[in-house]
Order: sequence, then structure tokens, then C-alpha cells
Amino acid sequence: MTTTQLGRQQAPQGNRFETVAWQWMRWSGILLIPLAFIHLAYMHIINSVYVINYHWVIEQRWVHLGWRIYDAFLLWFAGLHGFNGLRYVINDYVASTSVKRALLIASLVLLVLIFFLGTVALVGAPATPDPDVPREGLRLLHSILM
Amino acid sequence: MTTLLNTIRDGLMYRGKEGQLAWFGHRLAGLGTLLFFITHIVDTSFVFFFPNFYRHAIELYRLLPFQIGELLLLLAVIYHGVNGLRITLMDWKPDLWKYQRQLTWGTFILTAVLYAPAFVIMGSHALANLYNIHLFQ
Repeated sequence: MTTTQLGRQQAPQGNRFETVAWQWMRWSGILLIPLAFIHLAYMHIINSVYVINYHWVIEQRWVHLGWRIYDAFLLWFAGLHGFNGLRYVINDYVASTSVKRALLIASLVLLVLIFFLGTVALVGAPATPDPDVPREGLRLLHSILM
Repeated sequence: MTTLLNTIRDGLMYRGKEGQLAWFGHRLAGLGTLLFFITHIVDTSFVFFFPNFYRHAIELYRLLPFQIGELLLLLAVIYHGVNGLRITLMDWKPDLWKYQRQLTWGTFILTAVLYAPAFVIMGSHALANLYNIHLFQ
């Protein structure tokens, strides 16, 4: 009889949220490879931080709706992927339940703030530069394309 | 805190070889990238919120310590991406687990191959702008 009872035992019910979080890390990770690699190649390697300035961002990048949408995808996918990773780290290293809870709430607040700042900037930035912002002088090396 | 210290101490003592190194690197690279991501969204949002202060944020990134940080960021993102792909592949096809060691070394090698040109080109931007040293002219 013991065997039948054992046979009737159901597989342990997993935590649904953790299953989705685990799958999310795989799917968002696959999407983030092209998103983040193209972003790095274009902004950090083909161009550089010596090229980027206020006018460049408005006139060369955010003038195109496509780049704004691209940046929004990168913001949301990287944000949710990164903060879920941070949640794993907190769960791994913090033993105290109350400290863990406080850290998780703090990171969630930070995530909401980051999403708010990034999304408002992407939607709200003007199509033409603010005339009150002085234009930066030309620099030595503009881009490896030059 | 004790848990973290134990992790570091045991991590140094536990001889997990390349698998443990891959895991530790993935975690470190992920946390480092997240730290930069948070900073980067705040500075980029200045374009909309404080356009006159955006130049100060960018000027910081142009300094040598931040350039070294940017080179490390590039390594972190490339490694995290390649290693993450390896983890996803092995989760998808568990038959690959028997090649775990080879795949891990493959991850290290592919990361180095992708990072080398990125390092040279990004480093050349920094050398040209910080020290007027032009590698490709």
C-alpha cells in the first residue's frame, strides 16, 4: 500500500513567480544580447563619450523615433533583468528576513525611480535642441568613421 | 554580512575551478553593469530634466578613472552576455552538461575575442582625447 500512496504523491508545487522569473532571465537575456551589444558598439566604440553631448543626443539620436523606441526597450528589459538579478543576490546573501524585506523594497523603489526618469526623458526630450544650451566646441577625434 | 563574508571565504577555499570562476564572474559582471545602468539612466535623463548639467555628467565620463571603468564595463557586458547564452543553451539542452568544462572555456575565449578589438578601439578614443596619442594615424 505504501507504494500506491507514494505513487499518488504529486510532484512538489513550484513557486509560480520564481518559475516565471527564471524563464524571464533566459528570454530577456537572449533579447538583451543584440540590444546591449549594438548599443555598446554604436555608442561606446563607433562613437564615444568624446562625441556625445547634449546636441548630439537630440540631433543625431533622439530626432529618430526609432532610436527612442530602441532606448526604451533597452531601458525596460535591462532594468527588469538587472533588478531581478539583484533580487537573487539579496536572497542569497541576506539571512535576516526583515533586512531582506527592506532591501527588496528599497531596490523596487529605485527601479521605479529609474524607469520613471528614463521613460519621461525619452518621451519628453524635445525634437530640436533647447536654444539656451550652449553648443560644445568640436573635439579632436569624432568617430572612427571619420 | 556574515553570509557575505562566508561566501567570500568559502569561495576562495572551495576549489570549483572554471565553473565557479564562471559563476562568480557572471554575478560580479551583472552587479557592476547594474550599478553603471542606474548611474547612466540618471545622467541621460539630464538631457530632458537639466539640459545645462548634462555636459558636466559627460565631462566626468571623459576622465581617466571613468574611461578605465568604461573599459571594464565593456568586458562585463560582453562576458555576462556570452556566459548567459551558455547557461541558457545548457538549460535548454541538458545533453550539453557533459561538455560543461569545454563550453565554459569556450565562453572565456569568445569573450576575449570579442573584447580585444573593443578594448583597442575604445582605448584609442581615450588615448587620443586625453593624451593626444593617435594610434591609427
